[in-house]
Amino acid sequence: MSFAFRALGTTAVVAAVDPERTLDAVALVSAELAVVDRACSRFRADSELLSLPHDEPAPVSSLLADAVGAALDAAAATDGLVDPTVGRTLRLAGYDATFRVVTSRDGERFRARFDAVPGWQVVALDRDALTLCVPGGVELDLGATAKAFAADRCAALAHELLGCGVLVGLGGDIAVAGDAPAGGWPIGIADDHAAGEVQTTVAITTGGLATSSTSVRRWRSGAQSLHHVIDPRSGRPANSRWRTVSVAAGSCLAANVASTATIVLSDDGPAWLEARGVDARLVAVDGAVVTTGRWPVEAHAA
Amino acid sequence: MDTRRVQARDAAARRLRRLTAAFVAGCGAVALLFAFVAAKAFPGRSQHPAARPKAVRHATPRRTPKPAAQTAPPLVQLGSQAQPSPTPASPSPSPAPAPTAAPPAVVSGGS
Repeated sequence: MSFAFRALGTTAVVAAVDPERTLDAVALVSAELAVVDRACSRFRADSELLSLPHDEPAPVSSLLADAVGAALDAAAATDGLVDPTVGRTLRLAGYDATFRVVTSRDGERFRARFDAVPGWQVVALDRDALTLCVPGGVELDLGATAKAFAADRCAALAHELLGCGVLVGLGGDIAVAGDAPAGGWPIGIADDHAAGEVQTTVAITTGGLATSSTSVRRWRSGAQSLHHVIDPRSGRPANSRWRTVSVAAGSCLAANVASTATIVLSDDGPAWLEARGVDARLVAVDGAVVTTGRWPVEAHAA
Repeated sequence: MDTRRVQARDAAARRLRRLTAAFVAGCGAVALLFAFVAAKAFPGRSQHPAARPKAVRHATPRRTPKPAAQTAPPLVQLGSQAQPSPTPASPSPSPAPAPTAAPPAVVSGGS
């Protein structure tokens, strides 16, 4: 039994191995996501992230420190391929409000602009003192990691408090904790988590599975079609050979970081994944499927 | 006549002592009862010396309280097999995703 509801601008799904604990899990996850949204949202004027001053170490909550820390860890682990300082160029490109607002705009008249990405090294986070210093002109976007971070956090929390296996899905980012049901948690893989066109199904028992895709969250700037996966090296939406990348890993955050980095890397993505032993499924723009690591090979995989 | 009055006075004094003793005993019982109820209503918590707050190192940071049972968010450990990584490695590799014919409980896709 699972329940779905809206949270963090996407669909949240919660399931528990013990059906009698599912509603308790939903309540826990819903409350935790509200706290995460309040701390990390780029689109809420009252969020802690947007309330931060610049050019001085500012006290932050432990939650925001953890979320920013996860984003900086992701940047370090990928040599900056997944970088939280893409916020300014993402905003100039047109992703400057909730996506519902972005898509309601007249894309023919809108003109995107882009800016260089300053790089995650300019952000100073003191995880012990709980202070964060963001230089002036630098805008943080935690979108590449925050949902996966929240999914891991919520799954662990619900498992700890309820004592049964739990699955938490936030859009394409899925985390599981505790004992899985017999045969594992079956997870459908699709370009769009909400479209219902499942291409294959795999089962996981621990960690997480995440999918990044350029097929969704697209908008127009005149004749251009833009998407939300920014290549920090160019400051522009990644021009990738892959439209969708799914990764299974020890945590949803690790899976999400790897899937996003692969889209940014384009042709170099499969080798990067193989070098790190990552289990992944890549779908090219033309629909060809490539798998790496121990991801189950499909009959039609290239 | 005087003897009867003295006896009546003594009897009244004895009754008064008994009443006073009963009143005091009643007050004590009520006090014990309230103490018991209060103890049940507000259970105390023991505090070990090591758990007492230490001197404040930083004057201003705000901390969002976490649920006691919550685990720390996982570090970014790429890959499911043991690999060199800039972040600490997980203690054991995670199982590989397995093919399944079961209907999906949830869909992972772009969002």
